[in-house]
Amino acid sequence: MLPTPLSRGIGAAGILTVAVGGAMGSMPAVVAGSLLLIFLLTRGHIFSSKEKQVIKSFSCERTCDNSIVRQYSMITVTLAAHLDLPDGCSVTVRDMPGPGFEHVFEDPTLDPAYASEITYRIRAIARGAVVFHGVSIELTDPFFTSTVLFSRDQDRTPTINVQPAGSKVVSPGDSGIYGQKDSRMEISPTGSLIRSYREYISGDSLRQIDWKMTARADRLMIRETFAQRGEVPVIVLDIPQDASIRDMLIGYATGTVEASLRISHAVSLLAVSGGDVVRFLPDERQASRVLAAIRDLSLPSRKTHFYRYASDADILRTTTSTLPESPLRTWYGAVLEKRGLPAFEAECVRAFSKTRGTSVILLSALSGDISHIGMIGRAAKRMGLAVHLRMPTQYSSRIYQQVYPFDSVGVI
Amino acid sequence: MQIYTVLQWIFLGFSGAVLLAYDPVLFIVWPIALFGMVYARRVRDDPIIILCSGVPAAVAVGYASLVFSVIAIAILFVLATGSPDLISRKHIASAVLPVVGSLLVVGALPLVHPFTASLLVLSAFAAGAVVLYLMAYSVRRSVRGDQL
Repeated sequence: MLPTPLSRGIGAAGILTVAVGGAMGSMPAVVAGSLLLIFLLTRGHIFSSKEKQVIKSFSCERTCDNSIVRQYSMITVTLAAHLDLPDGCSVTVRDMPGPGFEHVFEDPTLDPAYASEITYRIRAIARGAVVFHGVSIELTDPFFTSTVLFSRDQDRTPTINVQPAGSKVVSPGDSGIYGQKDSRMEISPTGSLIRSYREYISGDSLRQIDWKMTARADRLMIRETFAQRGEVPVIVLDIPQDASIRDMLIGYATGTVEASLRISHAVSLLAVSGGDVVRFLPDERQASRVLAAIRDLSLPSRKTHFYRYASDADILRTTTSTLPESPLRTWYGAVLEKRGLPAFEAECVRAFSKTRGTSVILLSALSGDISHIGMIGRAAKRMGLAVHLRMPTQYSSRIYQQVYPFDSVGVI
Repeated sequence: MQIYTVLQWIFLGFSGAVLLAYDPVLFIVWPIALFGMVYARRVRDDPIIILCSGVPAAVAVGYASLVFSVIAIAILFVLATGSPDLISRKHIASAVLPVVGSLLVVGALPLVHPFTASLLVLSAFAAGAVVLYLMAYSVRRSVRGDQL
């Protein structure tokens, strides 16, 4: 329960009047201030009663058009909310899909005074059994406002079973999700490498069924392809300052290069340190050259700092949240108009344009200021490349899928 | 907005005239009203103007009789927010609180020294705010689940 500006004003006036009246020996001032505070407490109690009324009467039912979907596919969600609307209080219900999903277009907000259900679309990002985060209800009256989070089990249904999309990202040592070991050397009739086998689920192409495996396992099994031949990944290595993490990332980058060259005819390497490009090797066919380049990477001091650089989207988001006549709008507009593309982002765009890659594998520890990570992602997107971020487990909470333009995020 | 401007000047003029004659507390209560006006313009909330500019008036009529202060503050609330559910059948417990509180304030506070009274009121307000917070917290715990 948070006070609105009105109740803050009343509270301040009441407390000051009582305190000053007491200090100066004025009983009428003490009485007037006390009455203000009593009325404020009364409004607080009324608001609390309304909050209880809403909480007691609230129930929701969430339905999805499909409960078993592919990763990155769209899900249409319908949320029906029922509650007893209190008088003199505006109520807004907001569905919270949670970090496993990404909003696509519609804002999942429902005004129960005008509608009882809302339909919106989300994209499944995480794999596995993903549940919703819950529902939040915002109550507002002239004196108080509050947001109540409903995250009981019944508010988090249904569970969405998200199947992998068949990632084209090279992940050395990544075993099959269903317990099957990778079969990297097998080649399917279409020319793709076979990543693993798994049981058939509704929606899979019948052409993917492997009849030999089906006969052996006595149930329908399909092949999951690993990568198309000829794909050229661009490996972007963000060299961290911390030595222990640097060794781990370099080791991972080495493995990624080797694995990529087993299935692709070339690989590109872009080594950066913060906002500085350290080394660029486009479409290299010789594994030894790429590995030598990685081995010879020195630890450069970071010369360029972005100090939590706000992207254009961040600035637009901030601008829309300010008042229409706020001078901040003019200032932000001028910043957007004048500053142009950062030199580092332009360098990344030039580098990506010189490769024949179709996807970027970004290896970063995400330590310190990570403005440059967003720039790499935006540069890759500008060139139409898919971006897959791989990072150490301990830094995984630093990245927000909605803020950074990544197609997938994984931990090392 | 024009009626609000007229009202606030009437409040300020009346209360200023009365308080100037009776009590130096004027020099503190008036700044509260002025602060309220500035704050209201900043947050674009007109009811704050009425309430804060009404405080000197409520204090002023209190010199005639403390009961008038109760009436003045109640009128201020209704004028400012038009709150129909301040005293209603739906929230009967909330109706008891202002009535009993007003009776206590008017009946018992004048028996003690104003300074002691102000300490009592501020302590009671702090206790009331804590109770409200705990009530709201306990209600929310039931719907938060294990994830938050």
